[in-house]
Amino acid sequence: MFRSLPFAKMKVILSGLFAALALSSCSGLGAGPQGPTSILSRPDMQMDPSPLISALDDHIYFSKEASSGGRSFGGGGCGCN
Amino acid sequence: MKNQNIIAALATAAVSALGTGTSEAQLGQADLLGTDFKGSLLFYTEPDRVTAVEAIIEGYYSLSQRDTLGIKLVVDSLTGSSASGAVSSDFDQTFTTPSGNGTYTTRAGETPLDPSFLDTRYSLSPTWTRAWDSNYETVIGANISKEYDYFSVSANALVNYTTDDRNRTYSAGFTIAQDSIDPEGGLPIAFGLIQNQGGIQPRLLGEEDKTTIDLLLGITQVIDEKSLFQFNYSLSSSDGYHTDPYKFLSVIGPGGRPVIEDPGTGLSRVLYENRPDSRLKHSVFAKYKRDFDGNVLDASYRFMFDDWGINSHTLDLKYKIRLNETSYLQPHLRYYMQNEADFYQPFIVAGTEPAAGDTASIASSDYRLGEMSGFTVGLEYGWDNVDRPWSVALEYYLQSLGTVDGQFGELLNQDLSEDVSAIILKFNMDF
Repeated sequence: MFRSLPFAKMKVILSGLFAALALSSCSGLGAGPQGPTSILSRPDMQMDPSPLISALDDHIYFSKEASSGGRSFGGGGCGCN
Repeated sequence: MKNQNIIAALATAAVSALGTGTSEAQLGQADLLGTDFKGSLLFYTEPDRVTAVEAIIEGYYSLSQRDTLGIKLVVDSLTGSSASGAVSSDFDQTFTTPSGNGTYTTRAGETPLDPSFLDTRYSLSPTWTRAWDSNYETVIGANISKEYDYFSVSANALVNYTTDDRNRTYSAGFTIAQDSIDPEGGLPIAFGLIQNQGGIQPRLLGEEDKTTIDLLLGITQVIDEKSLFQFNYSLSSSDGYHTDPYKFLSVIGPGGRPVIEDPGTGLSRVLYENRPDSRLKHSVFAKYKRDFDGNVLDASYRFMFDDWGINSHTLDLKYKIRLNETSYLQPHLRYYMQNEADFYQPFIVAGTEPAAGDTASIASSDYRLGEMSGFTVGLEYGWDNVDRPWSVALEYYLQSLGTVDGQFGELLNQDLSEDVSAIILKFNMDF
């Protein structure tokens, strides 16, 4: 089921993972605990403030393009002809 | 007015139910119980092609400070015409509908579209979100989806771990889905020749299945008091039936014209497509959000590649412009590009056809597997910071298809890369 990956593509993934690791090890990042009135606690600062709209978009583009997923997962399968 | 803590907590639950992507590192746990309902409505129309209407309603109920149950119901309806995979020519062509009981004729110079596209889908998705402590949260979910010829059932699980300083959330998710398809008219035989209406079609009774496993790993990092970054890697592996049972390929004769199978009826010679029986997809997704004094930038990029030879890039930009305390405008731009699948071919040259039932050969002329770029531009207007936030968005979506290799004769006079455009209208509301 899992075929070996081309080296160039593996490099892309590994680069991303290293970037994430670099990010996670950077002690200069962060804001510490924030109160309920902070900017980051606003609904529009959530990573996906409108999940239902995102679900509609995913359905459209899943049906019209050869790519899907990446942002999140879940939802249901469809024939989507 | 609702307590903002409830809204924030429920928003977190809603986001979590769909996957990663929460900045819950900055959110407190729900300290009040409550219910919440959200709804969305979509109108999607391609001139002269497909029209879709989709409604989603979602409800959340907090059982306790730790547990939230969710339920989502989706109903969508599709009607209209869909590209069949055949090519246009300089004469009228007749095709048999998937049921085998009807025909349709495509005029000279027009892209063949199957007008018998009609389906309604119902989907139900329950979720259970539990905050185990201030660090760990889990989301367990399921989905069942049914349409006329398709049935899907899936289960998913997600774990979020938020660090003590609330600056970082690690996410790991898993989904397994089992789909089955029972096509109108039966299962097509690979490269089977479609017969006249009423004839014995190259189809078999029964249904086919597909099993899909998705894995997702993600990190959401608070950068500072105003910005966040997210990185996801996801893997999707599917085994089973991937062929579109309603797509076929034209057989092209000398002179670059489709072969006429039956001069009496004008039936064009077309063969059912056949796709690989597995697919392995990788996606890398990055997103950045930043507040600019009440305005919000939301930028994301996705790179996807798979073992069908498809690479794609998706860039998405939104910028929320606050008009006043309660209303906003949000322009949206999206750009997408993909190259073609290894087995994509827009037609088959006569004399090179695989034999009927040759499942070792793979070929599809579905334009969605060809070279393509997509561009979306839109504008959203909405009210937030009110009891019942709502929004409306109008978008225009244009798909431009790549040039087709190997054209000859009359094919050179035909537009085999016809653009596809769509108007999209979306409503969203918290009840």
